Parts: sequence; C-alpha cells; structure tokens
Amino acid sequence: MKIVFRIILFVFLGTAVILPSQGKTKWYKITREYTILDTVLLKVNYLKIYKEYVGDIVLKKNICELRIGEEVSSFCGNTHGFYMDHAPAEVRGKAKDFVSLFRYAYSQSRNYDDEKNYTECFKNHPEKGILTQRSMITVGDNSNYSYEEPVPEHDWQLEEGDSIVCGYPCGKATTTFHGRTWHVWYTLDIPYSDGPWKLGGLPGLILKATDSTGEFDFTAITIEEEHSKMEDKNKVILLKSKMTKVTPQRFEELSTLYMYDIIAFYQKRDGMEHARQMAELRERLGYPLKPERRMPCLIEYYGEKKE
Amino acid sequence: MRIIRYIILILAILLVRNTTEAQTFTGTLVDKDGKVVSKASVVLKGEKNNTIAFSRSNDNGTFSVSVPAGKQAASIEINHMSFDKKNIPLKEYKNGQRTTLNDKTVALKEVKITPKWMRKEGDTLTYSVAGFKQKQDRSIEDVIRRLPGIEVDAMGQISYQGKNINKFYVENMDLMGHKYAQVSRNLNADKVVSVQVYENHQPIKMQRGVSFSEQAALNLVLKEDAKNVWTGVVDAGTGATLQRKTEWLRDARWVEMVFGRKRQSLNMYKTNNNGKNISTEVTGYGQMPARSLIDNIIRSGEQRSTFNDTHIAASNWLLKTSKDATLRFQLSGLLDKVTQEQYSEKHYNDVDSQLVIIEDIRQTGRRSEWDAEMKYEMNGSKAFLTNVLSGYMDFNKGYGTSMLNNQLVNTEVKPRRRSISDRLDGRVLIKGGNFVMINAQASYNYIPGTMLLYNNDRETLDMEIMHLTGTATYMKGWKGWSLMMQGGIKNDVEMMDVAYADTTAHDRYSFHSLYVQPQLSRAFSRLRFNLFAKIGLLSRSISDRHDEKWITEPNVNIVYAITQAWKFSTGYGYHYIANGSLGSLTHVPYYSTYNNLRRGTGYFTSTDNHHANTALSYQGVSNSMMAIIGFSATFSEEDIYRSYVRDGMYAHEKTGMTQHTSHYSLTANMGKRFLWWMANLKVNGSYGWRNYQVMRGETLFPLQNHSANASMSLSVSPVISFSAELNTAVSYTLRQNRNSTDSDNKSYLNYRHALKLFFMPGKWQLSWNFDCTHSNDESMSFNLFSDVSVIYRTKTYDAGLYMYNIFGNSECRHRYVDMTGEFYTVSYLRPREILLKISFNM
Repeated sequence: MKIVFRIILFVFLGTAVILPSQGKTKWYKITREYTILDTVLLKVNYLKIYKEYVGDIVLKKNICELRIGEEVSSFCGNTHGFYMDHAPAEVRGKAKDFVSLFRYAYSQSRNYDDEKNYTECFKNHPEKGILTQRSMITVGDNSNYSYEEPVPEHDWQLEEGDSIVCGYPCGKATTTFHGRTWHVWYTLDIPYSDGPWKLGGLPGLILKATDSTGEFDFTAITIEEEHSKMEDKNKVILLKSKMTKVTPQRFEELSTLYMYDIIAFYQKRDGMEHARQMAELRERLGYPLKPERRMPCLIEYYGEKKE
Repeated sequence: MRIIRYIILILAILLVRNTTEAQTFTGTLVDKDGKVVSKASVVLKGEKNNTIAFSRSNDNGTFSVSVPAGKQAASIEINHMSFDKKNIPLKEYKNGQRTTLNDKTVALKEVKITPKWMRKEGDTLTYSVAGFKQKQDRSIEDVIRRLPGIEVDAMGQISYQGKNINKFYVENMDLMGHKYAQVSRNLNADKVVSVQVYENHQPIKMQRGVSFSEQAALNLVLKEDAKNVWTGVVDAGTGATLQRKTEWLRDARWVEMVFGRKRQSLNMYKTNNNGKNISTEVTGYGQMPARSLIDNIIRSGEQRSTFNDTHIAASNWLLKTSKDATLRFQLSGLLDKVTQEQYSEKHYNDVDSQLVIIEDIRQTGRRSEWDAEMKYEMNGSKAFLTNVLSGYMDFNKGYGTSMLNNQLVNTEVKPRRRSISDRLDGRVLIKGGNFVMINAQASYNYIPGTMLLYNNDRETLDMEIMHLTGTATYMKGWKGWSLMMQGGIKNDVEMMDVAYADTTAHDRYSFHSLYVQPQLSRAFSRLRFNLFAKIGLLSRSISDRHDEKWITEPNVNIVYAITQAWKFSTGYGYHYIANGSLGSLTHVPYYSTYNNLRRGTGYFTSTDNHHANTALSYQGVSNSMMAIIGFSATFSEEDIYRSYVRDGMYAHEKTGMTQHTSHYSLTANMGKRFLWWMANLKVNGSYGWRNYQVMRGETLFPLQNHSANASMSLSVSPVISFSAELNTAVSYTLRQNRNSTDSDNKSYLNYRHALKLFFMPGKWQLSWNFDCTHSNDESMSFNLFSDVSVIYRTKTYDAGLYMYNIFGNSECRHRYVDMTGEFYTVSYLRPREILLKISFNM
C-alpha cells in the first residue's frame, strides 16, 4: 500500500526531476508548469507527527515546508525535497552526480510516511484574507480537490510558559479551531504572523504547534532565508493541476469516506461500475477485499467530531 | 452645592473614562524616511516581560492594542523583520505617537540542519541504526560499537563521551539495571530502529531540571513488530579441538524476551567452553561490592587464552502494577570454571632488582555466584518511592599448583561472600515545586575465606562489613537557581579475624560521619554549574586508636557550551579520605595471595586527594562526528611501603610515612561516520604519567611511570557484500628513576593489529580474521592468529562453521611495567578449534 502511495505522490507532484547541474546551486528543478504567487522571504521546515487512524499506536511523520512571502504563504508536504535541499556536503560535492543526490534524498525520506490526503495550504490566495486548501484524495483525473475559506481568525489565549524552539525563545498561546485545541509556541524574534498549516495570527512565527490530544504536532526543524536563484525555490508557487472545487464540509466528508471505506468512496464519487473496477484492481494487487474499517483522525472537523 | 455635586460627578466620569481609555494604546509606525511601516507586530509586555496582548500595524502604519482586563502592561514592543526591535516603557509612551523604527542591524539567526544518521533534539541524541549497521552485525552491541561518541569495552560496558552510562533503557523502561549486556549482546540489531542517548540524564523524573547528572543514559527504540511480542534466539553449537588432547566444545544459548508497555521480560540460559567471556552478562557493571581480601581466583579474560566451562542463567521481569508503579525482579546465576597455565617473572619496584619471583601456575577457578534483586518503584507526579532489596551468595574456590622459585606449592583459596542490602529512596513534592528526598541504605556482608599459603600453612580470613547510611535532602528552586541542602549520616563497620600458623588476631574498623552538604546549581542557556561542599564531623577508629576530625570537602563542576557543537567542562574536587578500609589499615599482617603478605600500620595517616579535570568536547550532529579531549590531574597523599622478598614470598608493609604523589592524564577520543563506503573511524589516545616514590632498603627512590595507548579502528563497506574492519592499537609503558638515567629505566612498546574481512554474497557470509601482536622487545614473539568462518543466513536461522586459531599458536609472551614493578608473562593459548553452530531467530 505504501509503495502505491509513494508512486501516487510522485505522479501527483510530477515534479522533482533532477537535472544535471549547470551551476553549484542547481540540484533539481520542478518541471511542471506553475504560477508564481509571491517571493519567498523565509522558508521554515516543520516535522509533522500525526496519527492516521483513531486507535493507532504508531505515529506517522513527514516534513512540511512553509514558504512565507510578502503577501502569500504556502504550506506543503516536502519530505523528499527537504532532503534534496539539505543534502550533506559530501553529496553536494559531487555536483554532477545527480543520481547520488536523488538516491540520498530517497533513502532518507524512506524513514518518513506519505500522507493519505496530501494537502497544500495557501494563505492570502487568491486574494487577501482568503485561504485556499488543495488536496489530493487517491489517484485519477478528478481526485484533486480544492476549497476556499476566509483565513481563520484564531482567538488566541496567551498563556504563561515559555520554551526554546530551534534556539528561539518562544511564548505560548492556545486556541480552539475546528474541533481541536492547539497549544502553540511562537517567537517574537521572527515577527511574521504565520505558522504551520492553517495556524497563524500571532505576533510572531509559530515554531511549534501541538494538538491537545497529541494526534497532531508540528515542530520547526529549519529556518532559512532563501538565497537560491531558482524561481521554483525562491518564489511561492502554485503547481498547475486540475482541481475540483468543493466546500470544506464536502471535502471532509470525502476524505473521511476514502479513509474509512475506499470502495464506498469510489461508489459514491464515481458510481457502481468504477467501484467494481477498483475493487478488482485491488484484488489483483493483493489488497484485502474488505479493508479494515477504521475511523481516520482528521486534522479538522467542520461539523461534529465523528466517533 | 448641586453644582459642586455635578462637578464631582463629571470629574468622576472623566476620571473613569480616562482610566478605561488608558487601557488602549494606539500609534503610527514609520521608518527613518517617514514612510509608514505595515505588518509590524506590536506587543504589550507585562512586568515579567511576558506578552499580554498583541496587534499588528495595518497598511496605514497604525495600530491599536488594548490591555486585557486584570492585566498590567509595562512596555510596548515593536517587532518587524526589516527593522530593529523597539521596546518603549509605557511611562514614556504617548498614546497615538509616531514611532520611528531603525533599520535592522542584526540578521536573522538561520537554523539549518542536515539530517543524516544522527539527530539532536534538546538533550536527546538519536542515532539511526540503519545508518550505522553493516551487513555482518548481529546484536545491537555490534552497532552501538560503531556509533561516534560511544565506546563499548571488552567486557561490554558502554560509555558515552568518556563517561560510563548510568542507565540502559529499552523503550524507556529500565528492565536490566546494570546487567544490560544481556540485552545489548542478545537483542538482534534488526529489531531496533534507533539508539538514543539522553545527555546529563537524571534518572529520577522529579529531579529533572533541578539537579543535573554528568552521566548519560542510553535508550533503545524498537521496531513496531518487535514490541509486545516474545522474540528470542536459540543457538546450538558443537565442535572439537584439533590440537593436543581432543576436547569437545560447545556453545549454546537460549534467550527469550518481550518488551511491552505493561511488561518487559528477558530470560536466558547460555553455556560455552570456547573461551568467550559471557560471565559479565550476569555480573553486570554496578558498583564494585566489598570483596574478600583473598579473592584472587582466575576469571575469564581474553577468548584466546581462556580455558573455560561456563553456564549462566538469568531471569528479569518488569511489571507495571499500576499507572505509576513498577515492580522489577531479577535473578541470575553463574557457574564458571576457568583453568589457566601461566609462567611469570616479577621484579618489584621496591625490592632489590636481583630478587625475582618466578611462578609457573596451573590453576582452576570455580565460581558459583547467585544473586537476586527486587525493585519496587512508584513514580507519581507528587511522590516518588523506590525500594531495592538485593541478596547475593557465592561458593567460589580456586585450586591448583604453582612452581614458586623452583618449589612445588599446592594452592587453594576459598573466598566467599554473602550479602544482603536494601536501599530506599523517597521523594515528596511540597508546595512551590520544592521537594524533600530521603534515602536510606543498609547492607550487611559476611565474607569468610580460607587460603593455603606458600609454606603449606592455612590462613583463614573472615570479615564482616556493615554499611548504614541515611540522608535527607531538601531541594528548592528559586528564580532559576536550585538550592539543595543535604544532611546525612554514614556508618561503616568492618571486622576481621585472621588466623594462620601461630598468628590469630581480630581487628575492627569503624567509620562514622555526620555531615551537611549544601549544593547550589544553576543552568543558564549556555553555562551550567554545580557547587557543593560536604561539611561534617568524622569519627574513625581502628583497634584501640581513635580519630576525630572536622572536614570540608568542596567540589565544583562547570559546563559551558561555547557553540552548539563545542562544549567545555571543568571541575575540581577534594576528598579527605581517598580510601579507607580495614584491609589497607590493619596492623595485622595477612596474606592476600598465597605468597603476598600485606600489613598496615594500625593507625590513620593522612590520605587526602585533590582532583581537577577539564575537557573539551565536540558534537557534530550534521557531520556525524564526535570528539572529546580531556586532561586530569590528581594530587594525593599516599602511604610509603617497605617491602621484602623471601623464599618467593613478597611482603609489603606500611611504614607510617606518607608521600605526595601526582598523576596527570590526557585522553582524546574521536569518532566519525563518513559518507563514502559507509566508513566509520574511531581514534582513541591516552597518555598519563605519575610521580611517586618507593622505598628500597632505607632509601627513597623517586620514580616516574609513563603509559600511553593509542588505537584506531576503521570499518568500511564499499559494497553491501563486502566489509572490512581494521583495528590497530599500540601501548607504551615506561618506568624511570627521576634522579638518574641509569638502567632503572624500562620501556616497552606492545602492538596489536586485527583485520577482519567479510565477504557476503547473498545469504552467505565468509569472514576471515587476522590478529597479530608484536613488541619492541626482541625476546617477545611475533604472534599471528587467524580465524575463518562460513555462515549461511536466512531470516529464521543461521548456520555456520567456525575455525579458530588456524595457525595453531600455542603461547603468547608479554612484558610490561606498572606502578608495582616489571612483569613478564607467558600465557598458554587455546588450540586450533572447529565449531559448527546453528542459530534460530524466533
């Protein structure tokens, strides 16, 4: 299952293709078409640790990248790209040996998990005050969904307590948002009102965010100003993809169903015939016909939290 | 009157309005050219510099921020990425004012990491097992040995950056205590995801952040499929010696273990007679217990020269009886028989160099040791309680013959020990985050022993040792400082009965001390220091002599983090009594080996000790490199002995005089994992010298001993199917007379090299070891050993054929000098051997 998702992720991103280097900074380049939304002022990588299903003991993890621009910011999963960007000097030294760079990144990202619902979150896009969430549920033409909603105005409660994250002194704040209580640590030393995922709105950048149930956690692991000359790195970009616009509520419904019962999901979305085909395909691939039905842990709930 | 009332009312309303209005601050932010600054964060800070409210400047550069009800604001702080931080006390802030921001002078502190095989989060250092494991590695100890910064010695004891670890956890639970080799040597490396090191690990949760430990702890993080299920390994091997008299060999083990959330357990039985030292798995690495003064039986040593027959068995259980409480039960037994043949020549420093003791020993050591321990721990959020009850018993004996200066002597020694001890720790949290700790320990050791002497007399030496200590500690945190006040009593009573020939004597030593120990420690962001001093009254007595003294023993430790990677530490400590025990003090002469007589003075001499150390360590997580260089100096006052040799017997008696000795040592360790060829390099070096005096006849000779060791180990695996490991070590010993450069000076260089080659096509593994020792001394032999093995490995079983010592070397010679004298030994080696072994993983 994991390998299939990995392939899917690569197909969807379509993206990180390595080019033989021409200059010292060129390691790989995104070859799909994209739109430039803004110029990157600061890039922050977060380690995301999360629980996939209710009752899971093992936590999953991956790395996400927050690109903060003048107006727009983007937040996307980027484990593989992270290791490409942060390859050690020995790998970088062999600038022409792009395969070893790719291999290195692949070998490192193997320790991480791919999200079942790969999501991207753009704040202040398409216009100021609007948040765009783009998400991929499964494969196929119409499996990319996007929705727009106002950039959330969190009601932050400033709390006693401080900490140091990535060497920055941080203050603590708490809010409740879409069914979860978040405890975050923000630093006044980086006065961007941003943070991982949909979190933000504090007087400084959020470097750590933990949901009170322990099911989701973001921790900053790198903070860098972007010096690259390549625009797929120094710009906030939006990859061109065919998106089906939905409401946030509809998206929640689809992703829950997808994770709870994949066949029912196909049936509801594409009809009986497609569901049957998919079931056959799954059988050929050796997956259990009746997958174990488990309730996913969603990061947010628009309605009531389903038990 | 009415007018006045109205005026008061209006004034009152104005006043109230004023005060409420004063709770909102507004203003405009501009840069030095007068342009408005938007998106600046504006924060109201309280008295303690805590954030109490915030806002942002809008596109017009204006902001408005209100003080929440019930909070007091002290200053207003403006932050923007392009401008310097500005903090204005509210007393100076005029509401609505224009504030000019200055261009930024300090750049953003970038945080970059290059995640590879090592990761650091806070005080936790995580090594990924996949990043270090080579294909030939089986147990987790094989992998731990490769980790930069971590050393595993020949006995299996683990140290991190030069200090022994204080805990070995599996999944954060302490199943093994100090007998952790049972896990590290028997747990398959494939079951472990990562090895974590908790630096400065304080084992007691409640004290974390309040008091610091210099030692680190190790934790193994297991793979999901290895948790909560019984796993294990069963080995069975048999073989024979191919030289001299044919003997059957065996090597077998049965180990089963489970690591769950509520229960952990490890049970095992192992046996072998192929020289491999397995006894440390059950004896552990705890504090050295009081041992019999005549405990000189042969124990397992290096595989090539150990002729053994060993059985060990252990059972360890850790149960979570409730949410906060655990019960641990450990039981272990050792049956060990080791035979040794050794020729030795001894020249003692403090007797005439013409007088040599020549021994040709054939002896057997039989150990039968049993111990049990029960530990109950309750680790609640407000109270902590542990109780450890342990008992030990052995039936050890050694026997054989010795050609002592051409005279045949029968030897026999029975050093026995039975002991029981209990340790109770309790901690109660009292209000304000302070707490009180109570510790009580009691132990009783009964140590009877008998020994046959060189002149066929029999010595009986029975000892009883009792320890009783109690401490009460109050800890208080105050503004980042941590204050600790400890009061304690310590009582040791030792009694001894000695009888041999026409000597019978009884002696008694007691030690009582009552002390207070204030301690002050503080952790700043970079600097951490710990200062304490023991102040108390000491009362000692031996035989009918009595000594009372007030003592003050100061200690200080400082650690300074120069950068994230570099750390500097230094420390000083003073001890009034470096070592005091009945064995070293008693005026009764007794034999500690069959031909070694010792005697103290029967009164107290000053034996104080100053110790200073400093170290510089490097922890390069991004480049997988760790290094430490340290220097230490010890100045102490020590007794001067007078010695003589007669009929092969060496007597060593205290004169009552003392001398100042000094000991300096320099150590350096480096470990690095390279990207190319999975190469792993470790380099260790140490150099030490000691100044002391010996009395020869009636004259004092000032001597200086130098010793140096350097070793290097490199392992590479350029392709998955081939690995090579090279170890090379050199040791140097020198003894010189500081007054003259005559023939008293002796120096030896001993080399040891080992090369291991592993060819691993598919499921096969062919390994070839070469081992050689040589020396600068021409009388020493050049020894080359070689072992070969062929193993077939699958997931469920391994089958292998092992050949040891294929060149059939039979002896190994060694010449060295140390503090006591100059030694030359010839040890007899195990013959050529073959062993067939099959091992099942469950």
